[in-house]
Amino acid sequence: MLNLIFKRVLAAIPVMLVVATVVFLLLRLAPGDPARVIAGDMASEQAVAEVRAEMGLDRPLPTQYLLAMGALLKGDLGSSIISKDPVATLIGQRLGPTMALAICAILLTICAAIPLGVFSAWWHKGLFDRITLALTVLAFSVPAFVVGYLLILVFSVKLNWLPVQGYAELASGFGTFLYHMALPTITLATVFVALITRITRGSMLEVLGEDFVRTARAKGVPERYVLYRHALRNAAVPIVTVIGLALTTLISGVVVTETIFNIPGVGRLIVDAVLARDYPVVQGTILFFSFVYVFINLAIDLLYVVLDPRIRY
Amino acid sequence: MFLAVAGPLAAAPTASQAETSAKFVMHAPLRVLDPILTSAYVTRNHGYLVYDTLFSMDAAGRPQPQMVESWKVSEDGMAYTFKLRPGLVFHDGAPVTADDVVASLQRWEAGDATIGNRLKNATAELAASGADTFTLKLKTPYGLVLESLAKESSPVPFIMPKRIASAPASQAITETVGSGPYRFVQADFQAGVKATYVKFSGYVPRKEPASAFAGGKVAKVDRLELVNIPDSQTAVNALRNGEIDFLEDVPPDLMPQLKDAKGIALKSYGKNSNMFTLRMNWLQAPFNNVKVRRAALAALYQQDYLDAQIGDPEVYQVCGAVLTCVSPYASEEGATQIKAPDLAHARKLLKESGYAGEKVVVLHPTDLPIFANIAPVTAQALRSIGMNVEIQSMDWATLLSRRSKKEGVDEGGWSIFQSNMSSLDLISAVGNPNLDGRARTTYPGWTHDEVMDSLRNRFAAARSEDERRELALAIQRRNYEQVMYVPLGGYSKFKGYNAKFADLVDAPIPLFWTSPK
Repeated sequence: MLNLIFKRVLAAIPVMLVVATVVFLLLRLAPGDPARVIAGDMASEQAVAEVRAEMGLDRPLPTQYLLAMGALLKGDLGSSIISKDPVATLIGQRLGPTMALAICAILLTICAAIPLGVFSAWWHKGLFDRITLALTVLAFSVPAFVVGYLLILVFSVKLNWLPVQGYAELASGFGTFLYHMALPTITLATVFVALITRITRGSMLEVLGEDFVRTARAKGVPERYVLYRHALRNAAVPIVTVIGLALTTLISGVVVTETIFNIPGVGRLIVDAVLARDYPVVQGTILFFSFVYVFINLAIDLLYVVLDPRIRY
Repeated sequence: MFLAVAGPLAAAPTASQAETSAKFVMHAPLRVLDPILTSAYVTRNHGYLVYDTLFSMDAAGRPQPQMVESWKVSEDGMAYTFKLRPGLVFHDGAPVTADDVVASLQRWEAGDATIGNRLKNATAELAASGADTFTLKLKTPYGLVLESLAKESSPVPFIMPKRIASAPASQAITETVGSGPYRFVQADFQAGVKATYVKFSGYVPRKEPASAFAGGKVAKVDRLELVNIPDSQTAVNALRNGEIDFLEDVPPDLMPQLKDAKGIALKSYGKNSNMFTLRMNWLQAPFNNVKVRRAALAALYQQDYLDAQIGDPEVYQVCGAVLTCVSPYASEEGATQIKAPDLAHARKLLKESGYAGEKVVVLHPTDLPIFANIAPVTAQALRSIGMNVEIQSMDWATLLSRRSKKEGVDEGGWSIFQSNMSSLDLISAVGNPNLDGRARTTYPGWTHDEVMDSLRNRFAAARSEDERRELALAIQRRNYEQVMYVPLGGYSKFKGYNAKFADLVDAPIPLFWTSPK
């Protein structure tokens, strides 16, 4: 297993460098000028040129590339052109809300989707199964911003139970944290509950038809043991794979939810940076996401070994 | 189930805050703190909390002393001596001196391409003549010295300590220290997310009642928290729910949601607080031909723009004055776009101009909802008289960069862009960037007109109101003769707030202070 970890980490280095190069070129070749964004709408061309020179953006592209890559190899993601803060600091400031949201959403997803999927498979073609399937289609079809606004309308504006927006750190108390996190979590989890319910159902249906399940039932094993010990464990590999992918998507793709609920997370950071053409922040954040993808995929591969002892690397 | 757990667990809603604390939301995220480096309105608004100015404009548009206690003007109007109010201190405890003022004004003059630059060009010497006294000597007559020092919009001549103001105007300052009514809390600042301001106990307000930017500034609350809410609907909901106390800019389409909301007031910043503007590229065909510009002007109709973008006639105002309809010199002479266009006449003008079907590229920003509908109206109007129009959609950052290209449209250039400008930036005959005739290094569009430049210089030098009025009218006429820019109509920006902010001073921008009692 250590061998696997070592190989994967080594393989990630060239991936990161390619990502960094592609992002660097895409950003520089895209239209837009951070100096103009900083100087503002009414600044003269001379003022913009001075700001550009001050930021080093008037240097030749190869020089900028070499400087950026040199810093990167030393582990320096650079500093924001706009705020001057180190990119690592900015990511650090914004990572907490994003991770909190992603973890809450994935926990809600697991708690809701796996029982729904298991029971749908158990009552295959029954009323529960049909209702669950219909709801999952609905959850897939409604965009996150619609779900978010509907929840805000009902629970915040009409009932005044929960806040419209904002983020509270766990340090401010679990109740306050959950109070702010409830609606964004449901908004974000909706589509993943639908996805993982269907994956769980499909996987369980396949396993429930296997001989070893029939044998367990014939031996008089209680049904809950059949479902959870025999069937679910054998159906777990595809479910865990999808949960892992969902987690990576959650961490990197929560921008809509963060915007609707005004959560200052990494998704908002990258969108703001793109709009302001804050090159180092965009580049650093994408590199960070790449690292997260590599790390989560590695973790999932290692989890396979735990779930299915037949798997060896 | 999740909701059932979350609701009761929240012991206290966030709205329960101390009486002297408030949260407010601006129209854009605050990222750059240097009010001279950038002309972004959000940074200007931040500046008004932290910094003070030598003079300020009152509600009638007259410059009034703010940090200045007294001043003298020589008989020939070529030398000014200013004395600072006693007891002025910066937030770091250091007294405000004339050296600080001189350094701040020099940095502002270097960073302001309009009024600051004009004052600099007219100045022979700006120097401290004592700890609290400084002099400004002119080399050419300039009748707008006090008006310049009271400039309201970006960049504002804010006063900061000399050690900070000594940085070049193109280099961002690293400390935010002013002498205004609020102190900026550097440790709380997260660019684009939040900023905190606390009442500065060392600030001594003037005794006069607050009047727009002028008069006594009594900080309204002890602690102000600026939070960025990027989604307008979320911001409106947050205001209704009591999670924020002040929303700087309520979009017209969301105003009905606040009109009947309990405890929430919706108030205009005044008529024509903003204006949509259209600018043509004078360097490239077809708008390098004044006859084509006139034909295009004849096809435009303000009502179409205002209906498409604002919709509510209670909120918008038809206005053809190049210095805006809130200017004391407002005139609508020559503004054909305020009436329904005679398209046959416009087609005739276009034919006479020799227009040969050259492509007209209209830049269309799609990420700023407040003027995303303007460009398609222009495109349709010009097509209706037979122009070959291509509308190109992009985000605002791309547009800003694209707009600076002077090449032809086939090489990445452009023909027309529209903007949404504060009337504060348009109201001054010498500060309005659209009327700059100094040619090719100024505001994109690169209008070059020596007659206009001469009129503006004469306006700047004029010392009587009658003379200024006459020159302002001449500027209005000249603008439409040459089509330097086209006002596309004004509208009123609205703020939404709760009872905490009921007695804030009325001004064209959000100012968080009240009058001295």
